[in-house]
Amino acid sequence: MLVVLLGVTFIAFLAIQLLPGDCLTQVLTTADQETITKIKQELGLDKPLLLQYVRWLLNALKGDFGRSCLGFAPVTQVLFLGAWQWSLLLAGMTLLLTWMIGLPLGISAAVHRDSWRDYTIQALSTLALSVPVFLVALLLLLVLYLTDAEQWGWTIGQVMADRYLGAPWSWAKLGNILLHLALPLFAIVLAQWAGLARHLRSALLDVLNQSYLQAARAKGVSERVLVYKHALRNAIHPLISWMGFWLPSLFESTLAVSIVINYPTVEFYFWNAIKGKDVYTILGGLSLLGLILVVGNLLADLGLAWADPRIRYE
Amino acid sequence: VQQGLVLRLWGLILLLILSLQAAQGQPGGLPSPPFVVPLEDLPDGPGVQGGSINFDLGDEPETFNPIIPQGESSRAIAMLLHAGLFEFPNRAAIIEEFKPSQDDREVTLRLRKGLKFSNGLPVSCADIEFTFKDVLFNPDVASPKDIWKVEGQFPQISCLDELTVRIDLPARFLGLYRLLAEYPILPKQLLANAVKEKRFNTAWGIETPPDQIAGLGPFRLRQYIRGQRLVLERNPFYWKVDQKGTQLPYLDQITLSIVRDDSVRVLRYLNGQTHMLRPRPEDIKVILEKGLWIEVQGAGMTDSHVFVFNQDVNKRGVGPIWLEAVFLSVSFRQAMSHVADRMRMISESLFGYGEPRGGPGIEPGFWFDCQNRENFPFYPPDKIFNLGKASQLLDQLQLVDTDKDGIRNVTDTFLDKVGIPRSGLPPEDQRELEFELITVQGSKHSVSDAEIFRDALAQIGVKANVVPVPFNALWDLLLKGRYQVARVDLISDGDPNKIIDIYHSQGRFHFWKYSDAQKREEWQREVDEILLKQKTATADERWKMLCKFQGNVAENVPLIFLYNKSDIFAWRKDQIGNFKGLEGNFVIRYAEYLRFCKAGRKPDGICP
Repeated sequence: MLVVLLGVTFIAFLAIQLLPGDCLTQVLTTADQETITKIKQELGLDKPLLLQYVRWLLNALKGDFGRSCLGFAPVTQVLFLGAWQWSLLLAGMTLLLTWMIGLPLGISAAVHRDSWRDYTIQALSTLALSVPVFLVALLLLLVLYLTDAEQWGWTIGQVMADRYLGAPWSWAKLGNILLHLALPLFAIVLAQWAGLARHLRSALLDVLNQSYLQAARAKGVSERVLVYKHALRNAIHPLISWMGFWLPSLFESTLAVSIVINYPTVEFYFWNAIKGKDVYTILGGLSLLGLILVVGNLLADLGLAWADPRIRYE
Repeated sequence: VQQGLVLRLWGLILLLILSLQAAQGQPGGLPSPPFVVPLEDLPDGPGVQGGSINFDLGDEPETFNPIIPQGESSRAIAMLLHAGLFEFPNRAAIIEEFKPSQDDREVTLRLRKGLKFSNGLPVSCADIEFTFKDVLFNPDVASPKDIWKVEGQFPQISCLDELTVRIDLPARFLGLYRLLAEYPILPKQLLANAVKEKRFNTAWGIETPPDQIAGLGPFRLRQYIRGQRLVLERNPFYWKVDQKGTQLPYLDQITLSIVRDDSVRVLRYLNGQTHMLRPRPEDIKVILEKGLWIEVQGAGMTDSHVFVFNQDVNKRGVGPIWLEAVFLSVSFRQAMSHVADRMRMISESLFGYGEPRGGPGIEPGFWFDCQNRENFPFYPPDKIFNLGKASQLLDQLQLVDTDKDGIRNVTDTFLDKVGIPRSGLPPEDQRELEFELITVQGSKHSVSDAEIFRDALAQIGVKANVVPVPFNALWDLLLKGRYQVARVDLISDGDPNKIIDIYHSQGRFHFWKYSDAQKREEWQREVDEILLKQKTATADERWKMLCKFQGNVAENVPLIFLYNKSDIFAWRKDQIGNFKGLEGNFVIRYAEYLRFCKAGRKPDGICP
């Protein structure tokens, strides 16, 4: 796991150097040479490349991921301050809704194969996968603007209405936050459920044709028990593995939506850093992403072991 | 008798209180005397305190430190929280009076009595000394230093008493007041430790609690919720009053929301969630359709939108020697200026909101103030576009289409004329007059200008390939001189001292010919001299020098100037008064003057 993380950050560090320009380009227009030299020294950007990386790595092991070249704020602050809670909320709700929608629709499509239900779900999922997330977010934004959604307490470009910002927690505030969350959630879940439903449908179809299920059916086991107790448990394996790789796709969707509807997520600040070639913030973000991916895969493996008694790790 | 004694005692106490107040400044946190805003500065007249407005910033502040380099949003916030000794151009601000010596090498400033920072801390000469000596001139602080130096030295700042500051200069420095207006005075008490511990660059970061940040601006920070908004409240110690004696700012609060997307900012403005907006030209129609007010002011003169031909294209290894020889020709660059259809660019890229330009602009309006402007080349700029003239100039240079493929060639005659040996070069039929024109990816107006230029060039047999690249990449290529031709926006505030880096042969942004640093032409030598001498010249001398500079640059065309964008503001004229516009996209000019029109107003009516 550590080797993977190390590799990711090292390759990223080298890749950043290949891009034209550097993070000081933005500073260059307002500062003189002396100032730029000072900033480079302050951030350690005046050192040879390899030494820069090694210094960053050693400090990162101690929890210091470096500082941003604009404003000199610590990387953890740039990425997380006021953002981690929205990323977590969005990711958690997306996960929940994606499974709540994708799972029954995937099962339904597989069980009623080649029926109007199957065709409708297939058509809808194809449509959902084909429309770019940012476009859905933009269209939703426009619809809410045209329908004067402000009357329900929804404010364009905010995570909650002005009156709740900084106000103590209340049910009304929570309701307003969820109302504002609905737009990004809808846009992201739209793409995510379709992927899940299609994966599940194909996995379930494979399992439903297995001989042990035919035998169970012949024994008089009800269709409900057959699907939910026996088939689903076996069909869900690839989905658990898929979950490990689901995070990067969620990252991508969250980023697009955050930009369009102004949702302050970690993904957005990470993207900002990439645009500005803010080396240490990018490395910090990538380390986090790598960590999430590795942990995601670990959890997926554990999930597989839990779902399938045949799988045991030694 | 007893009653009389009691009365006299009360009288004494009252007198004592009044004299104490007089010594400490005026009641209500005002200094003595306060700055009285001239009536002409308030187009809608004096108002009453109250009300709040909403405005969207395009990005997060990276820092609340107003000294270190920062983005536009941080700067917009700093302008609301802080103030300098002067106001642009040279009006005394937090100082009561200033006396320059006869030779302009010494200035004595007297601070207003009872002046306080927004947290209530008194301001004294020690704060001024701290700001300059310990912060601005401190080599450990990441702030520009060169701009402060006169003949290689920093101004000397000293305190004559608690309220009197003396600035000694090695020579006359006309740009001093402008700089004193630009850089804010900081509270020593809050920042001295950061300087001492060499951590000033990270002081006042985004995590700083609002009550730890203080300044002399009209507002102070009350709340910052990252990614969402900043709430700024009235500074109760602000030093300006209107003619009626009402303390400014008029507004109780300004809410600045962080909205990154241009279109979302427009939607929010249309929806009535914000009071002001810098619209893009393409947004104007929808704003007007909604019946909202748009104000278009004359084109600002300071930004330069240019095409630049790299005259070191071969020396930097990005083009053949014959192309460099062509770019080095003044006649060729003049021809290129005739090809730039400025009026079409204004019409298509800016939707008509701009004015053509044929030379460099310095201070606002300066270009048009030069008396000999009629003699300037490329004047008037709306008449420059002339493909016939451009063709004629290229023909005279012997840049003609020898192989009849529709593209001019760099002929042997041309190379012989400019003294470039032909040995080792391909034959003239293969030396096409073709170049790569880079522009900023995603910048609609830059790409559109480049395409208009490309199409016009095609009509006279010159081939340009437009290549949009990311902003950072473009700047990197410019600074390394590794490009052929570029479409660039040069943003400046018009301070002649700040354009030295561009036009001086040794400037960091002299990207059209870095080799000037080793060997320069006569006109460039003259420009170098003007740029250095104007710094310590008298106002009259400076005016003449800068006129000469503009003529020189216009004639030799190192940059092909295109246009100035109009200043366009959308603002709720029915709700707010005394709006003085925006600088850039997010800096509110004179936010302290903004006031609410309590009963609303009709367009062009008064603000009640």
